[in-house]
Amino acid sequence: MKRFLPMLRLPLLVFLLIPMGCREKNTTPQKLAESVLRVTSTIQYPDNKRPWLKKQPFTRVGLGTIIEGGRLLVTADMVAHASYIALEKPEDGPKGTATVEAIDEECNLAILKPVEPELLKGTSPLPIDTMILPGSIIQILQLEPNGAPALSLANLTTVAVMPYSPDGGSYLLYRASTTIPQREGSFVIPALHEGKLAGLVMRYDPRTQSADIIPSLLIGRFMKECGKPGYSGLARAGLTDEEARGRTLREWLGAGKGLNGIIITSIDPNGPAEKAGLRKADLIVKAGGKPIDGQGNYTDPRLGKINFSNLATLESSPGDKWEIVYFRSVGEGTGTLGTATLTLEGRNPLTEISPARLQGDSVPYTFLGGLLFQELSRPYLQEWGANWRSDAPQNLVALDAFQKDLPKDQKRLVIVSLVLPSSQTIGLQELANKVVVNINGMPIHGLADVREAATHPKNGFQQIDLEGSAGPIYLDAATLPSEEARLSSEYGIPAKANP
Amino acid sequence: MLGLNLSLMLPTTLPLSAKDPTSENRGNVIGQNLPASIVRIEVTDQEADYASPWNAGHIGGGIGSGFVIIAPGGKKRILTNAHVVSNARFITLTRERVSHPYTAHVEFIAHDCDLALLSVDDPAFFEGTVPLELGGVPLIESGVSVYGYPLGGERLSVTRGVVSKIDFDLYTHSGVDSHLVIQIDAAINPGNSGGPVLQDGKVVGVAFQGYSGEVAQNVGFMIPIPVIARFLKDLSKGTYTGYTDLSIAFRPLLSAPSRRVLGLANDDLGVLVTDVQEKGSSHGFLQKGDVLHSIDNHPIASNGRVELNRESVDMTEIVEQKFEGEKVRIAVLRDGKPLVIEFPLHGTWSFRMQGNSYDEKPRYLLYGGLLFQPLDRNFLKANSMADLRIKQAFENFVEKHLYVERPEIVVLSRILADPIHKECDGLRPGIVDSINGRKIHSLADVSAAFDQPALYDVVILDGIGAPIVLSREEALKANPRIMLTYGIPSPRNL
Repeated sequence: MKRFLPMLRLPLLVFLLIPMGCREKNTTPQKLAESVLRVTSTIQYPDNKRPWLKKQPFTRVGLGTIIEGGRLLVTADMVAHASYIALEKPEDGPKGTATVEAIDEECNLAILKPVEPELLKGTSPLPIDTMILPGSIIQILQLEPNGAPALSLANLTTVAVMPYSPDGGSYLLYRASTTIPQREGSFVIPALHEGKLAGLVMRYDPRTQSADIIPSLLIGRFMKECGKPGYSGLARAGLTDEEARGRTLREWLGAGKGLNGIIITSIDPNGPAEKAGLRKADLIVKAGGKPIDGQGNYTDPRLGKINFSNLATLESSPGDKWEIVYFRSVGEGTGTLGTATLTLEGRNPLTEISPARLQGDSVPYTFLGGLLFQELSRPYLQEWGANWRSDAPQNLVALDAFQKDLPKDQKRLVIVSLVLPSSQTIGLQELANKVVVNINGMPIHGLADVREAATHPKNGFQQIDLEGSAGPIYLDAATLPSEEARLSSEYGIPAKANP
Repeated sequence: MLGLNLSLMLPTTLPLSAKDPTSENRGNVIGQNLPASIVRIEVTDQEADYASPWNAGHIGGGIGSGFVIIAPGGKKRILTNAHVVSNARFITLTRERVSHPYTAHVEFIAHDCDLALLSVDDPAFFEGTVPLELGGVPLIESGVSVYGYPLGGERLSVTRGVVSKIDFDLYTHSGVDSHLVIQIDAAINPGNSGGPVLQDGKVVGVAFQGYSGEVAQNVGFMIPIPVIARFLKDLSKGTYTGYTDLSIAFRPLLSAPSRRVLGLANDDLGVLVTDVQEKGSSHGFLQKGDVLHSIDNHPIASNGRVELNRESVDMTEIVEQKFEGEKVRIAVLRDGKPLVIEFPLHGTWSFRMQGNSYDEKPRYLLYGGLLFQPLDRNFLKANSMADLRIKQAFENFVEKHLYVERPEIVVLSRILADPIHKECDGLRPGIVDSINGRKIHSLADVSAAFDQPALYDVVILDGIGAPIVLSREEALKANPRIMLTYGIPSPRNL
């Protein structure tokens, strides 16, 4: 959970190479090709800095694995923010389209439903493998340009809980050592084991020849959960942890011999752990009845030592009760054992102050005169590029990074994300990317508040109070509608607000 | 004989330029005397090591320029840049026609305006020198000459240019102070620092900073007379105190609605106070929301500028000319009512941690292999800290008024490996919140916390869940061992 190789989350490059995959003679490759369709998705990301725009569209091509129920399995990256998804049978077959039936960007999985059912004629769904152990040999399935299957062998080296993306959560992951040739349409490709689906390759690092594979175990859990009403992610406890390092620390905590465990470093506000009464600095010694060691692992009968968060994400459903035995120290070698019963939840974006992901395909915003208001979110900061942590406005980066330290009742943060110059906003350009505290005396906890407060100007003026030493902004309420109309026609902004 | 002739050749080239009637018609006279006024300064310095604060630091050196002036009190002294003689351990002066170097000492140094005054140990050095006279602020586009010893040369060098711009700008020596700066297009190169810029035979500035060729060309900067005169006046009392500051944040009032809400006339006057620093001069006198109308009877334009000697300058320039304890008179509009407020000025120490500091020994405390250091710019330059909290605390120290609660931010900067940490791998640097239950507001608090009797020492860092716990007994045993292993002469410099 702590260490991982920073791999590029990159597709296998779209290139034509001389086919050189090692074929397995004793499999039936032709049959395997009947279990996949080529998926081409046209993706258009929303522009979080200019929320009335969408970015340049681009396409991703990969293989969708046919699963039970006449559906296809791909990674979420393959189809998130897709405006059009095309399907094609590998060997020069019929073409069609698909819609997204379920998607979870956190665990990077999505299920597609073909619009034209005849596309699935003559195909056979792949069963999902239930267990592979480290050391197994698996096959990576790609297609030649003519549709013939090309298989590469991979050696499954590691099964561990690892981060799925630099900013996202950690889930069970297979890491395999293999050579995957560059072939067209390899953004997502299946990994197979004894004729069953072992997982989806979500990234491959050609330098270290190492592939990260979303394991069949997680796929199985996702398929089980994603159809339930209100699905918002796999089960989680809502805490982060780190090792309790050092003998003297353990002595001081007083947990005694035989109790290992891991220290809670932060708790999601209003998350399951907080609601169950767990606190920062508690030592988790047992979860779901299983003892937790000093590295935060439990012992899985088949997989061995696995981070205990896997007990929530993979072994449980949102809504399940989860018992945690913890040790709460008061220092100097004394403390008490306690038991907390958590009700596991999926991700709840409403409790996130700066959400890590956008909900839906459009970015909410509101204009007030030449001022653009948006809610702070990770995708907004990520518009500053790969180095957004150092390049984006630092006041906002800190609010995003330390959002769990904000007051418990803190809701969304609204920022002035853009100041369009006008006679009313002259001299205010440098106030962009400051947090809005009040408008017309009303505290602001979301865009809805901005819209509501704007209907109550004081003495004919809109007064906007910003954080820190920025000072208030005043706008003339009477002239705002005409100014907004003028700005929107000059800058080509289709709507004053969304939604 | 030949050599002597050659050396005389240098000034004889100058009258050529003196034929240009627009400037320096006395160039030949000055030119001949200049080698008697301008000195080459060779410095051996020792830059403190904030990564290993117990070490004495890296020994280096450099060459700069300086010139003879009559200091307050009537004595001859050498004026140069503070950055030429910062962290100096040994200073020698040479000038043309003098065969051996003379040793000198820093008498006064002002890091906030990059100026220093040197005294020479042997008064014989000044025999035959001609002190340069200070002039005024030159006009834009007028010609100036820069004298000094650029690029390590042994012979005086001259470059010429015109005054390009006069404005407030950053003094990169401290990195946090802004004063009046004159931009010229004469070449200024390393070694020119501290040399005089002359016009009509009088000093109009001290060459002090430039750009590297990749950024801009033909851009050099000099410290103008108002800043030099203020430095000399400040030190005439026997010590240098430094600049005073209003310590407020203000915003221009350009937009019409803002002016109407605040009840301002359409006269293009006034700025809005948006923040007042607790430790600053204005605290208790000015308030957030005040509109500043005039300062010492100079009307403040809505862009924050005032007219001074028929020039439009930043309103801060009024404060720049004042000394510690002098009063400033500000007309404000508060809640619609006009008020005149008068209050004494002083400096603001809270900015200093964000600036470069010199001539100081790094402060630290080492205990049980844990190294504690105060957070400041020197520390961050030497230790690249990936921790966002540390970066934020540094940048927001003044703006978010962090100093009110924590006058000093103490960082656990490093853990020196020792058997007492054998199971603590992966410990990360961080801001120290408390030690043994005591909130840490300064390095002295760290020392006090470890001096209290305790069984365990418990260090809690900001935002990190598990404390660092040492057994007191083991830590006390480890201290001498760690100092011996790592060659650390003293466990602390508070």
